[in-house]
Amino acid sequence: MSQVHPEEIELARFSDGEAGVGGAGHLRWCARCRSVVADYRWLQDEITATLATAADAVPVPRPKWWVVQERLFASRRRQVTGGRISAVASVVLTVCLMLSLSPVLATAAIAQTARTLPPAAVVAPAPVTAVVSGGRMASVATPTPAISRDEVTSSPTPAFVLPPTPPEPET
Amino acid sequence: MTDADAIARAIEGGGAAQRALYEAHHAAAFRLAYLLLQDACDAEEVVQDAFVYVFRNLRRYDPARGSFWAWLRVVLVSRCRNERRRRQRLRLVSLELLDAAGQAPADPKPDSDPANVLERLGARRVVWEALQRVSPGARDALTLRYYEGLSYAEIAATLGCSTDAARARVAHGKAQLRRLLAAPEEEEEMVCKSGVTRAAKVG
Repeated sequence: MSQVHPEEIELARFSDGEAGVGGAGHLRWCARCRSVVADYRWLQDEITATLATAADAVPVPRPKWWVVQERLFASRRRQVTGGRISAVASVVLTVCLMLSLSPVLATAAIAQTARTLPPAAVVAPAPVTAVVSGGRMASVATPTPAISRDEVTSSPTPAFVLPPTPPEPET
Repeated sequence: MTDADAIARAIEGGGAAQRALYEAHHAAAFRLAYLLLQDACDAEEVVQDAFVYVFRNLRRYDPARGSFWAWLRVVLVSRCRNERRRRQRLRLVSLELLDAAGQAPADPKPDSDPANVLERLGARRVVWEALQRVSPGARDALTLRYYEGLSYAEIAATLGCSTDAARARVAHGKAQLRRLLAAPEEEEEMVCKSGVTRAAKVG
């Protein structure tokens, strides 16, 4: 026989028919707790009746199917427009990425080509010649002569040849 | 036409089947939304919103997990909670605006019950008004338990919480209601004070 009164929450649970709640034995002899449980049972009935009455008394508006339909169409339209926008955005993004990455890719391709050439081949930079035309100086790169792969690989000891010094420009 | 037939047809794009589903469940959905929000206009808006969501996501409905009404109820309760949060935000904003303009708020909580509800409630009006002052989470749980007659597991599934949490919400709701009915003014003061303390802590 428990002398301690269960907490109010315990009694609220007990009133809802929850078995196994502590203090069930206590209720057999405690009139005070029994009265609290009775209060809760009355309250439950009142809540049920009040909610049912309020739900019955509220005037239910006529179902407005056209409103739901219109909102459904609007949401579908938004979905389609959103899909188109995201498709266009992804295409634009892809193009931008490709454009921004193209120098990097080109550098990588040059590096790859350089790696595939035999390490012995050393190609000297092209000589730079200054051309004076109409009193204004401009530098022009001389095109590097093409070296065939056979030429490069056939020479056993490649010699590094210094490019000729470009002539001093006349002032 | 049963719900299963209507759903099968509605998935294939049948507008008539969607309409049949809407008309079959509209009244029940509106009543539940009204009990959760205690505002007929908001309830109507939320019901339409819930149906739009349901029809857009009808392919996700799994009959093995429950009836169509059970699924609609989950969507509806969730929408009602969102609506309550929105209302709370709006109220805060409008009060701030009024404060900034140097005007006192006229009535922060206007009576939104239709007259015939109050008339029909009669002596039960006290319980109804006390229910409106119970915390929203507990009120949802009480409504689902005593109006919808759901088990704790079903309440938990609808509110997205554990069964123990659902039990606790119902029990706390009843305890709050009992205190409110015993000493309404005192309890309201306590609720206000705890709200102020919470707001101060958050702030």
